[in-house]
Order: sequence, then C-alpha cells, then structure tokens
Amino acid sequence: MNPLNATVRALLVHPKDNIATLMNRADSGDNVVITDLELMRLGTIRLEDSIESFHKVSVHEITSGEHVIKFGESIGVSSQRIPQGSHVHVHNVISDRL
Amino acid sequence: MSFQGFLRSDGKVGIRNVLLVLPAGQCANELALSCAIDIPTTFPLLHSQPCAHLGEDNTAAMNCLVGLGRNANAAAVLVVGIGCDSLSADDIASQIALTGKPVQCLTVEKCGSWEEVITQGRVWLSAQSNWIQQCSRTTVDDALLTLGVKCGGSDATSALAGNPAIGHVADRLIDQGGTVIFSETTELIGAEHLLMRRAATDQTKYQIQQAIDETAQRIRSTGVDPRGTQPTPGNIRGGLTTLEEKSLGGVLKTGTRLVMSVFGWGEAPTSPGLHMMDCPANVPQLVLGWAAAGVQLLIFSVGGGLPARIPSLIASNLGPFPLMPIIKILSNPHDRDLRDCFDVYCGTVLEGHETLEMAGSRIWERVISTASGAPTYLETYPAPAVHMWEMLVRGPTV
Repeated sequence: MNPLNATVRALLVHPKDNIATLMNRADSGDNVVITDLELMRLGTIRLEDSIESFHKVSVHEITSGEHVIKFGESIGVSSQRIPQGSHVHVHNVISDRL
Repeated sequence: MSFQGFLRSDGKVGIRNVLLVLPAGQCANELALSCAIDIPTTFPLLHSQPCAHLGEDNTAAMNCLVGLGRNANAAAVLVVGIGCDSLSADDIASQIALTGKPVQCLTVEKCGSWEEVITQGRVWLSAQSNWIQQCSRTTVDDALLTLGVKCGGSDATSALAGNPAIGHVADRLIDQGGTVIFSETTELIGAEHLLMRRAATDQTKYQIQQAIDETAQRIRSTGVDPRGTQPTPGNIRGGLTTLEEKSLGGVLKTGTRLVMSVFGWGEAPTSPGLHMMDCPANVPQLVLGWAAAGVQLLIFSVGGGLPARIPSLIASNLGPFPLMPIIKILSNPHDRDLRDCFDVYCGTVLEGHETLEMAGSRIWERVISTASGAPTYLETYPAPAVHMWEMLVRGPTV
C-alpha cells in the first residue's frame, strides 16, 4: 500500500509533538519509520499495539496526566501511562476542554 | 489576477446567474416551488422559517433572507409570501432591491389567491429567465471573490493535506484583496488561542474568546457529555481523538492572515480579509449563513472513509445549492478511488507526490475556473432537487 517503501511511515507534524500519525495500518511488533512533512527520516520505533491507518502512535513514553502534543499544541491529557510505540486514542487520552 | 464573472449594478460580481425564488416563511415554500417549476435557472430556496420563533431569531432570519437575495450570485429575486408571514415579504423584497437587481414581491394577500401568485410569478420568472440567459461574463478582479472554508467528515488526513492546502488558498486570496469567511465555532474550541493571536484588533480578540466561551457554556449547560458527538463517531474511527485535535486541524484551513472581525449568523462582513461567522457546524444552517454573508463559493474539505462515500456531500442530506457552488476536496489516499466524486484530490501530499503549496495551487486554479463558470462535481450531480434549508435557532420555539 505504502508507495514510499515497505516499512510503514508515521508523520511527526511538529518537532514538539509526542505522537506521530501512521500513514498505513501496522501490527504490534512492526517497526515504523518516523518522518517529518518533508519526508526527512527522524528515527524508528517498534509498535506495542496494532494501529489503524492515520491513527496516532506515541513516539516516546507519555506519563499519566501529561499533555498529548500534535501540531505543537495540546490535543488533550493522557489518562494513563502510555509507553513508546502505543496506540494513542480515546482509550488513553481525554479532552482538556469539554 | 482575474476571473470571468457577472457584474451587478451594485458593483459586486456573481460567479453564477441564479434566478432566486425566496419564500418569506415556510408556509410559502410550496408557492416558491410551484412558481419555479420547469423555468430554467430558477432556484426555489425552501427553508424552515416558521411563525413560532421569537425576537433575535426572527431578526437573524430576516437578515439572512435579505442577505440571500443580495448575494451576487442571484441575478434577480422573486419573494413570495402569504401576507400573514412572521417576516414581511415586502420588507424582504424592498431591502434586496437596494442592490439595484430586479426584484418582485407577490403574496396571496396582494394577488387575491394562491393560484394568482403562481400565475403572476411564472410570468415574471419566465421574462427574467430569458434575460438572464442572455447575460455574458466580463473580466473582473480576484479581489471581488468571497470564499467560505469548511471541513466535514474529517479524519486525521484532513489536517495533514486538504485543510493546510486550503489555508494557502485563503492566504493567496486575502493578499489579493479578497474575502474569506470561516465558521463552525464549536470546532474552534481548543484552537481559539491561535486565532486570538491573529486578531486584527483587541475587540476582535475579545469577540473570538466570547464566541468560544458562549458555545462551550451552551454545551456544558445541557449537562450532556459531548464526547462521542464532538468528535463524531466517524471522526473517531478516522483517528481523531479529541475536540482539540479536530479544532487544531480545522483551523488550518483559515490560513495565516489576520482575523478582521467576528460577525453573527445572517450578517455580512464589512471589509475584505479573513472573518469569522459565529455559528455551529450544522451544515443546513451554515450553508444559508455563508450565502447570506455574500459567499460566492464554498470550499469543503472532506477527510475520507465512510463520509466520503456520500456522493452528494457528507453526513447530511445536502444536494445542489445553486446559489453558492461548493468545491469538494478529498484528502485520504486510501479513498483515492473516490476522487472522481471530488473537485480536487489532495491525498497526493500524503503519498509524497506533492507539497502542500502545490496542492494549494491546484485548489486555487479550481477556484478561479469555478468562479469563471466551470461546473463543480456537485453542479453536475443528479441529486434530488428539493432540500429544506434551516434557519439558525438559538431561542425557544413557541
């Protein structure tokens, strides 16, 4: 599916972000290449969970109560410790606004 | 830069030549339909305005109907009413007529019968229709364009491709002296600080904060947990986790220029540049509000997934709205097989084939060609012709 290479890519939108967005579905144990918008390779992480396309993966550990950062801004607060390589979504992030 | 438009007597420019039939209230919807049937270029704009609204909601609806008639895409307007409508058909017509465009007002009270309104209405519309079809376009400046920007059926790709590409288009039009309007106040919650930093004046900064606070307060006062509705179930399946994430992605389509003012639903901006219309994200209300604010062309950013599979638009019963063409943008590469149902496909950015600037340039070219008369996908889509558009209601219905 991914025209770039056989390895799944995850996009880190902003240097401050602690999550990246997967460009394709990937399984637990797969290695994911983190790139920026210009496709610059920033590193590789191993997935703890299977994650759907365009869902989020933690690029490093996020402690419980820490802000989850995307676009360099807070998109909510983690409700539990989120290890590196985990699926970051409604089960472990809550809105800080409503 | 320029496009080919229809110059109006008030100096505004239409990108379409619509013969608008406007009911004063919902009781006159059938009259509008009967008057317009089978007459080319007519658009009977059916809407929900009842007799059962109060105060500010009636004022906003009045402003909305006048604004719809004044929209430069309407070449001529027939206002129809019963005579006992909560908003006076004569008042609506006379305020629209200030633009100098041909306006006629017919009511059951003035004409003596239901049938006579239809007879006289059809004679007037037929004559206007013949005239409209002979109008030709002239070369006009891009600064005369007013764009609306909206996203819907969003997933995580909207914020990474379509929305920021639309942001480039917004910046480009504003730099050329044009006007861009964004709205959907609920879906700005969590991103308002970014807009407030771009406020042109302290008053605008305050108005942005106030619009956000009032919307959040209205949601909290219901006692209902909005999670699961904002973001929507479709948003969540598409990878969006919180309202903040949705808002931070949505705000990208406003570009980077100053926010000049915040105005209410039914009103219109008084200067060029970027403006915010304070209104929830419910499409049948939003579309009316944008058209009433003078928007000639709406850019609608769709992520992908199931919402993208509704050809007539997304997550609503929307069909053609001839008064304001809609350019549909698709962002999700996994749905690229649907790109023929969209006007511009931006998944190329995520496929690594194109930069956001390049995608933005393709949207810009589509804006100019659409403004010059090229039909959008929705303008060629054989959707059911009849839709009910909704007035915004903030107060009680009695």
